[in-house]
Amino acid sequence: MVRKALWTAPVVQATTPTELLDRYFPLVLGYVSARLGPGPEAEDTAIAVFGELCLHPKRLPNSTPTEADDPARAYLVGMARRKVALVLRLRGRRREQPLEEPVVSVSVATPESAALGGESQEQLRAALARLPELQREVLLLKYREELSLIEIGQVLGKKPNAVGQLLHRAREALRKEVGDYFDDRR
Amino acid sequence: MTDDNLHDALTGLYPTPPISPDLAARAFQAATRRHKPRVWPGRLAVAGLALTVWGGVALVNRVRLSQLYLELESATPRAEAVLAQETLPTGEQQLVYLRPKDGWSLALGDNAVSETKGETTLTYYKPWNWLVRTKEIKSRSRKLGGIYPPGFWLRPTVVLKTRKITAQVDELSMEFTEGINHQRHVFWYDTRDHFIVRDETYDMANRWLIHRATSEKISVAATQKQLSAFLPKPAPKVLDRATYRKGLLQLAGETFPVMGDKAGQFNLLQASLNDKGEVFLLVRNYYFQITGAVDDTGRRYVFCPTYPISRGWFDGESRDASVYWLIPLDESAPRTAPKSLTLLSNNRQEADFWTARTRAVTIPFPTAKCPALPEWTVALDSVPQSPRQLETARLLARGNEAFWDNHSTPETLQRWYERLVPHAKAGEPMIPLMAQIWLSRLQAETGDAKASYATLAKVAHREAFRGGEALQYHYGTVKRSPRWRAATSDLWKAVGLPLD
Repeated sequence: MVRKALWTAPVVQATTPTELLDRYFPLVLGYVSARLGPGPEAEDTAIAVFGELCLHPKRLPNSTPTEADDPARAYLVGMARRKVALVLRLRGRRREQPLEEPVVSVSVATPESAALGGESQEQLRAALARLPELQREVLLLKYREELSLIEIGQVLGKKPNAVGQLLHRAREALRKEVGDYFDDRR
Repeated sequence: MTDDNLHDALTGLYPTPPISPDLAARAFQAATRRHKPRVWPGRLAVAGLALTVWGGVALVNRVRLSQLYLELESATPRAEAVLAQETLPTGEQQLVYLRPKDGWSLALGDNAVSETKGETTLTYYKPWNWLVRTKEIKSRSRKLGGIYPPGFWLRPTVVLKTRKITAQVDELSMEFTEGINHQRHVFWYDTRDHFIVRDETYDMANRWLIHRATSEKISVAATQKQLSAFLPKPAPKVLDRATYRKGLLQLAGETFPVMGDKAGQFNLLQASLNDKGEVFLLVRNYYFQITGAVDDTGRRYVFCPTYPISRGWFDGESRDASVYWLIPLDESAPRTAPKSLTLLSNNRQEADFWTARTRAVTIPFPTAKCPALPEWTVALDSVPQSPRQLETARLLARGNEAFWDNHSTPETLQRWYERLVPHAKAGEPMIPLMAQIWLSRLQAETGDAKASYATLAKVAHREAFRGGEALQYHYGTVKRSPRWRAATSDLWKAVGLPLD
C-alpha cells in the first residue's frame, strides 16, 4: 500500500514518502555513516537510497511489518549496503579504513571518564577492524541498527540461523578482543 | 559482554549524524522526485533493426526469386515453347512447355492445385514436390544459395528432359513411354506430327493433355529409365492375377495369355471366344482403346464398350483391367473358330483418335475349340446381385448406357463409326452400327434370324436420333431426350428386356 502510494500519489498524498523518510532515513543515514564515516558522502549515499526507492517503488516490500520483521526496513538497509559497497569500490578501498575521529556524542561527565571512554572506543574500533568484514557488519546490523535476525538475513542474503551463527562467532571474536573491557564495565 | 553493552558501545562508536533541515529537504526531494516515463530507445532501436533486417532479407529473397522466375521464363520462352494452356474442369491450369535444349524438354506446369479438395491424387501435383524433383530448378536454386522457397509463389514449372531423340516418322507404331506412380501417369509419344502428353492425375477420366506441335515436326521418345529420373518412383504394384483369373475363368472357358507385361504398351491378360463368336479380352491397358479386330477368317469385330462391367467386375481396380467385348460385324461370315485375332487398337484420346497410328496386335488362338460361354451370368457375378441391378448391369453391358458413359463425344463416336465400318460414309450417323449390334444380339438370343428388331432399330433411330438431338453430351454427362428414352424403351421391349 505504501509502495503504491509512493509511486502514484499526487501532491496531496505526498506524505507517504515523508513517512518513509521519517521512519527510515535516520536508520539508513546512521548505517551509511557507520560504514563510510559521517560526512557529505554518507548523506549523499543515504539520499541516493531514497532516490532509487523513488525510481523503483514497486521493489519496496509491502508486507505488513512486525516487531521481528520489517521487510521495508531490511530492504532499505540492504539497498544502503549495496550503495556503500559501490562507494567503497569507487574509493578503491578493499577494506574499510579506520574512520576519522568520530564525533563523540556521549555525554562526558568528567575528563577522567572522557579519557576512559575515548580509550575504550579506540580499543573497540581496533577490535572491530580486526574482525572479518562480515562479522563486523553483522555486529553493526544487530547492535547498532537493531535489526532482527530475519531482517539481517534479508540484508545479507542469509537464513536467520546462519545469521545467528555468524553473530555468535562475531561476538565470541569480539569478546576475545575486548571482552575484558566490557566485562569490567559490566 | 551483553547486548546492551554492545549496543551502547557501537552506538557510541558510530553515532547517527544529526539530520539538518537541508539534508531532510534533499532527502525529501529525492524521495518524491517525479521521473518521466522511460522511453526505451534501445528496445525501439533493436526492434527497428530486427524489422529492417527481416524486411531486407525478405525483399532480397523476393528479388532473387523473381530473378529465378525470370530465368525460368527466359529459359522457356513462352512465345515459342508453350504448347498449350488448358483449363481443366477442376479449374486448374495446365501448361505445357517445349524447349529444345539438349534434346527436347517437356515442362508441365500447373498452379492452383490446392483448389481441388478431396483429391489425394494431387499430392504429386504440388509445386514443392515437383520442384524438388526438378534438376534444373534445383541447380538454379543452388545458385541462389540453396533456396528452396517454401510456398513457392511462382508458377511451378516442371522440366522433364529427354535426351534421346528419335525420328520415327514412318514407323507405324506409336512410341511412348510412361512414368507411373499411383497418382500420376505422364507419358508422351510421337506420331507423325503430334507430341502428346497425357496426364492421368485426376481420375482416369480421360482428362489428358494432348498438344500438337503445330510449328514443327516433333519426335520425342524417352525410355522409362530416362523418364523415371524425373518422375516419382512408382510404388510396387502387385498384379493380383488371382483376382483377374477369378473373373476370367468364370468368363472364359479357355484363356489365352497372349502378351505379357514385357510387351509394355499392350498388356493383354487373357482372351476368349464364346459360342456366338464374340471375343472377350481382359486387358490391362490404360492407353489404348481396342477399337476393333479382324480374325484369320476375315471376320471383323467391333468394340462394344463394357466400361461399367469392367468397373463393377473388378471393383476399384478398373484402372488395372478392362474387359473388351468384341462383337463380330460380319454375321454372314462362316462361324468358324479363328486361329488368330488381330486387334486394332488406337489411343483413347478423342482429339487424337483418328490421327494416331493404329496398332495391330495379333492374338494366336492355339485351339479351334470355341467353348460355349454363359458370359452374362458369369460376368455379372461380381456386379450387383439383385435382379434389378442385374438387369441394369445387363443393359449396361449391352452397350446401351455404357456407350454414353464412356467419355466419348458424338464427334468421336462418329469418327469411330466411320473408321470401323467400311461402308460408312462421312457424316453418316453411327446409329446403324448400334442397330446392327443390337440386331445381332437379338437374333442370337431369340434364334430368330428374321426378327423384326432391325425395323424397330430403324424406328428407334429415326425417332431418337433425328437431327442428332439425342446426343446432348458434355463430357460424361448424358442427357437423353424423352424421345430417346421412349425409343430405347421400345427397343428393349422388343428384345424382351425392360428399360431400367
